[in-house]
Amino acid sequence: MGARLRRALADVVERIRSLVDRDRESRELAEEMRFHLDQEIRRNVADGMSEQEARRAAHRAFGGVERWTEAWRESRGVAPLERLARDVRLSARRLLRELSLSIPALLTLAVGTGTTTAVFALVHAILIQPLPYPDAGRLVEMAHTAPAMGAPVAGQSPGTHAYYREHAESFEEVALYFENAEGVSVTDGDAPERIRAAMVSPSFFPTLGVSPVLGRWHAEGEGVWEPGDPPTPIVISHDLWVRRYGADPALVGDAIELNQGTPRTVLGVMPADFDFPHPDTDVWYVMEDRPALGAVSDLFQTGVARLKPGVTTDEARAELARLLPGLPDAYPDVNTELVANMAPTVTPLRDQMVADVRRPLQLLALSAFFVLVITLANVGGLFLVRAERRRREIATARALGAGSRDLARRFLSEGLLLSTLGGIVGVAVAAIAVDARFGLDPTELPRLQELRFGPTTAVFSLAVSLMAGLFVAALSLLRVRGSLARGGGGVAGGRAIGGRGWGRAHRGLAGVQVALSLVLMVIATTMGRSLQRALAVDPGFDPSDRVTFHLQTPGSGYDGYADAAGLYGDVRRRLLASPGVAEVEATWRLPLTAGVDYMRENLEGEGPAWTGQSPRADVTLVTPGYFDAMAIPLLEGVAFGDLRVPAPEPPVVISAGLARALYGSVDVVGRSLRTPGRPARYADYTIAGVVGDTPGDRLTETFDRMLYVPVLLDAGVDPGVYTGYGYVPTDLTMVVHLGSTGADVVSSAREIVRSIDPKVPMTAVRTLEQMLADATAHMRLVALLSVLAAASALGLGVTGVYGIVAYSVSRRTAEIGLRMALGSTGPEVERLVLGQTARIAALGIVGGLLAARALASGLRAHLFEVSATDPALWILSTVVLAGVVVVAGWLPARRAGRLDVVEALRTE
Amino acid sequence: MSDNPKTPSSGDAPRELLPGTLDLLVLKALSHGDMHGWGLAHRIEEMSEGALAISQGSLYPALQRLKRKGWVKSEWRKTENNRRARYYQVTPDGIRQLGLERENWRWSFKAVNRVLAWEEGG
Repeated sequence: MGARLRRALADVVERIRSLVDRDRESRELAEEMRFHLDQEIRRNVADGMSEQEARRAAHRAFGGVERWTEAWRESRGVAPLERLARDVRLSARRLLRELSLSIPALLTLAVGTGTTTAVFALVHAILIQPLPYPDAGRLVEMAHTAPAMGAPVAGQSPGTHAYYREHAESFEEVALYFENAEGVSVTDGDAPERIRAAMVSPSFFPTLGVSPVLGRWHAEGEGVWEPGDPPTPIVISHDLWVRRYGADPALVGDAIELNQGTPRTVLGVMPADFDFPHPDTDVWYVMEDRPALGAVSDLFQTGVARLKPGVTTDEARAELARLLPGLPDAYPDVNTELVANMAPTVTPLRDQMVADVRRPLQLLALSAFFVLVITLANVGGLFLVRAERRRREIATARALGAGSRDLARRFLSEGLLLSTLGGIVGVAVAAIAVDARFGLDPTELPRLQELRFGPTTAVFSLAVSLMAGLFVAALSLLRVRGSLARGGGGVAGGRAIGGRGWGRAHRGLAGVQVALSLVLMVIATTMGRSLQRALAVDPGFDPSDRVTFHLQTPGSGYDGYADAAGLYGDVRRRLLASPGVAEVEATWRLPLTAGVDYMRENLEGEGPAWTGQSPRADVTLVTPGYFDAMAIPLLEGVAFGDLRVPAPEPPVVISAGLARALYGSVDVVGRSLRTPGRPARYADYTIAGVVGDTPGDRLTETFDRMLYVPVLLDAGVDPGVYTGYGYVPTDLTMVVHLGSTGADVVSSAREIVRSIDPKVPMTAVRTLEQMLADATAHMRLVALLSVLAAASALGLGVTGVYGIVAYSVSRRTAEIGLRMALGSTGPEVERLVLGQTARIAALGIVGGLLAARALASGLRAHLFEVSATDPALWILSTVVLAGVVVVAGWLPARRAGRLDVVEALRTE
Repeated sequence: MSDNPKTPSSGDAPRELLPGTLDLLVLKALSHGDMHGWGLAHRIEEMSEGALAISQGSLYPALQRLKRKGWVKSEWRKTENNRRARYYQVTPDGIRQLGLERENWRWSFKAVNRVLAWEEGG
């Protein structure tokens, strides 16, 4: 037994060795045979033969060096590999001979494989792959929903967090964090820098299961920070550490200055790929434990937790729902009405992070799948044509003794060779695109940082290539087998028309391409229309020739009203004196800046539309000239009027939308308004003017109830003058209206800000036109991808139809010649061929419309002011597609109509 | 891939070998001492007294096969004329195999003869 095993092993070793040492072995064999023949010749000469005779006799006795070398090679046991190499070589030669077929097939496969691979990489990285934390499947986001209270989504407050953390059994660990909406400036060193910061509870990193790569994180029980204590310590991002501190390990334990405040100790540096809660987060503060914030109703923070093993999100949610009614017992001052109306939610963290992009990505995946199917149908069609053309060759091979296995090998090696080559081209392009992250900004898609051309994607692309190769090989093999079985060889059959079944298969493949192209075109036109609608939305201001930038006072030194106002006022005055500047005004919140928090106030007043529930408005502070600078139309009244006249109810401006919501009309100048949430001194207002509506966070989600409160930037204003909320906010966005198009105010502004105070960061510099474009970036991405998918589908589909019709014409040349000989005219023949195209188109269009109808409901969520079943768009897609298909079919039809009868009859 | 040697179909062998017998002959010839391919061809020819003129080249695939089975091994040596030649040597496994094959051969030879004798006698 042992000996046999040893021999078997030795055999394997020998095979591998001879595989590796192939060249050496061949050389040795040649030497051995040369020695053999030399010996034989010498002996023959010694026996008295002439040199020539001796040589001839020696070769005769040997029996052919070539043949025995071949036999020796087979006996070495590596023949299958070499046979494979030979198969590949032969296939390549055959494919090279038919470039008119191979090149379209190759390109089609490249497009199909590349598209599918790229989309797979994206979808896998974002939707499928677990988050890059240990045992990430157990991470959940904890929030609330209170639709009845006007808060469809509400988070956690320190109070609810502490309460759940103490009582809930479903979680291993519960954490709390929130992102600092105003942002933070690093103010040490020369250039101040605005960064993104998150306040996190001590349990935050342990919950995620991530620790700093350098240094450590604040351990729970190391002390609780309360207001008045020295600032809490921080950890910083790897990026900030490298970018600003040159990856100096000594930074850990040191302190850095944020917002010109007391320096904060850096406890550690997070790993480079850690990007929670945001890819740009650079600083994580230890959250102060502020019982004052325990006002349980301030649900603006976010809960993240790790479930105990085996606990489902539903079980966890049920437990929280059971616990929630006990909250007022723990916090007697809680808003009981709110608690009664809210419900806890527990969502897998990954799903929560990608919730916004799930649908667009699913749509993308579906489109890619369609492109793949079209690819297969297209190449399948080409290979059917090819198999048909090669019936003679195959029949000859068969007659010469090629078995079914030989034929299968032949088709398989051709199919796989083509699909592998196409795959390599497509995947190479896909890999480059994936590595470049499709040129997307990391903030445009969540988890984009995790996008990589990894092993899973490689395996996927390999599987797609293999499948494509097997598919076309199987199709050709079936085709050839079928025709050989029927035709009994068919060597003579040049005119023999393939079975009706195969004609149907051809048309079916073409029909599939037409159908899926139509679906993708419907999607693309609908998306395009939706985008067009979004772009046509009147933003309510004039974006041309306007530049904005954001300034933030660096904290200390700017405490008083005069100082902050002085800074902005200086910037404004000096900019106004710069060339090319017409107006400089400021606002606290620009429209279309998603992700920033507005102040939102409940309002009280008098009026017909006044019902029990108080309407809410977004509040922003603006300089009186802001409306002019933005070209927001003043519909009624004035922009605040004279602010130096003291008034018991100072003036505000409201948007037309708010006016209608409050009073049912815009004719409301002089009416009073109350914001009960403000201190009494700033609670009562008179409406001085009404301006046009502007969008809220997003262009497509208009929140048009704006309340504008005035702010003045003139340094040294009389403190008695009315100044809105009584302070100048620490950050403001400046709006510069250019006096002449293209004036370079940005450099002037930079220069001015730097000379006034180098510690003031100037960020978000962009034109209003860029801002508008950014607002539709998401939609443009989806629309662009749909159009790309539709265009490649249309291109592939049309070539597919063209190929099949052209082929059928060439196959029927003799028949057409006969028809013409019997009196058919050219136009009649054209109609005959066009009829065939029409049948394909009709089949495809019906199928496509049915498929699009089935998918329409899924499309709805992507759309803005467009129906997923907009008849005009469907008709447009259908007509365009039908037109293109008919042209594709018309070219071969015309050729058929112009056939020379004699030539055609001779083609047999 | 077949295990049988491909017997040459050209006319230079007076009689075709039965499939599988070449291995037996090679093992037997090598059991009388190490030899290179050319020497082996002539040794077999001599041992059969000229009755079995094999196509000499067929030895090489056969030797390769035997080597893979571990029944012979080979090494490069110098001949008397100081030329490099590959010498083959039968291994202990090869000797055992020779015994087995010899038994097999005798058994089938007898069996076939008996059948043939019966036919002739009938």
